[in-house]
Amino acid sequence: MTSSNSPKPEKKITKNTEISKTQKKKTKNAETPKTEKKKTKNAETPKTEKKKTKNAETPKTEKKKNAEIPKIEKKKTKSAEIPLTDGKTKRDREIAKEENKKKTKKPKLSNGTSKQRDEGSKKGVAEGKGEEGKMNVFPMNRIRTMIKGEDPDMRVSQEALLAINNAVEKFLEQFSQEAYAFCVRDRKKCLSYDHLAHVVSKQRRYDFLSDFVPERVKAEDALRERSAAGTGGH
Amino acid sequence: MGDNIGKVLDREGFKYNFTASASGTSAQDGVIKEQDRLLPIANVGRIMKQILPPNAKISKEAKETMQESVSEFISFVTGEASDKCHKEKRKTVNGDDICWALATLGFDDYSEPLKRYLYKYREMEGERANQNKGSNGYENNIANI
Repeated sequence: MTSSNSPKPEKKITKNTEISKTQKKKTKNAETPKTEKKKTKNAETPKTEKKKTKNAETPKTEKKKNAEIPKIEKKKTKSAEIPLTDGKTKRDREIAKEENKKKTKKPKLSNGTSKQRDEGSKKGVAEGKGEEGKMNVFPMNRIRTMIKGEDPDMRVSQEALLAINNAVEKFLEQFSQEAYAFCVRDRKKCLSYDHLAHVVSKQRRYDFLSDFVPERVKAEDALRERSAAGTGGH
Repeated sequence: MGDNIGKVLDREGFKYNFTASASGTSAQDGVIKEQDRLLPIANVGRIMKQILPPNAKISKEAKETMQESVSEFISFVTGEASDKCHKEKRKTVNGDDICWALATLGFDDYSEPLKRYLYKYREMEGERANQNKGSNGYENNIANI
């Protein structure tokens, strides 16, 4: 009997121990959110403090702003009080303007044109060649020297130089387009000398270039032509 | 021996001075360098690229030929314009003379747009002149005050 009774309380003890363990776990789980809440509270407290500090600071800044406004007004009144007829102030202003102009000068390239203007001209061309968009495609000084080289006594106005510049651009465009038409006819992608020479030989308006852009002829063909001309003459 | 060396140096110095003076006179006489006789090839190439389709290629020889052609075109047109000025006993070539020369030489299609361009240019110049006058007048008034 005793042997049968003895194991029962042991089981109970084990159950109790298990229960106590589970209770401890439960209590721990119950306690953890409390600590988290506490932590969050602690985290929140500095925010409120910051808010308080902000509220404390805002009136100061407002005061500063309010204090600054009349100062500006005073300055305005001072500038109004200075007479315009003062020679010194005028000179000072003029000197300052000149200095600003010097500072804002565009960097010039070797050919006398600035990068910014060149970019502007490119934009003008891209937008459909507005006459106001682009002014000078070629350097004016170069054109002037070319003309002076032929006739040193002749004077050329700025207007004439602009006209030549414009005409040269149109000539170049038209000539290259006509040459490219021959290039396409030959089914070639690269525009070559032969295409330019072909245009010169075919169109009457380019007769003045016939000595400078002659058509290439093979030696055999040239000899044949010469011999034919010789026999024809006799 | 020493005297001879001195003489040689003097002669060389004289030679160099002579050549330097010669080059100076040539610049004054109006002899132009080869590169100044032509317009910049970069500008010529750029215009050709802009006009032709993007897949088109241009050989270097074609660019150089075009450069020559352009300079010849300038001399051709200005020659005609200057002849007109000589006949009319004028010393300055104007924009109108260039337009007339273009029309005479068979470039009639260039002449009309050029006239319009010159008209616009003159208008702009007139406006600038008026603005300058206005600003000068304002400054004078301030000075009087």
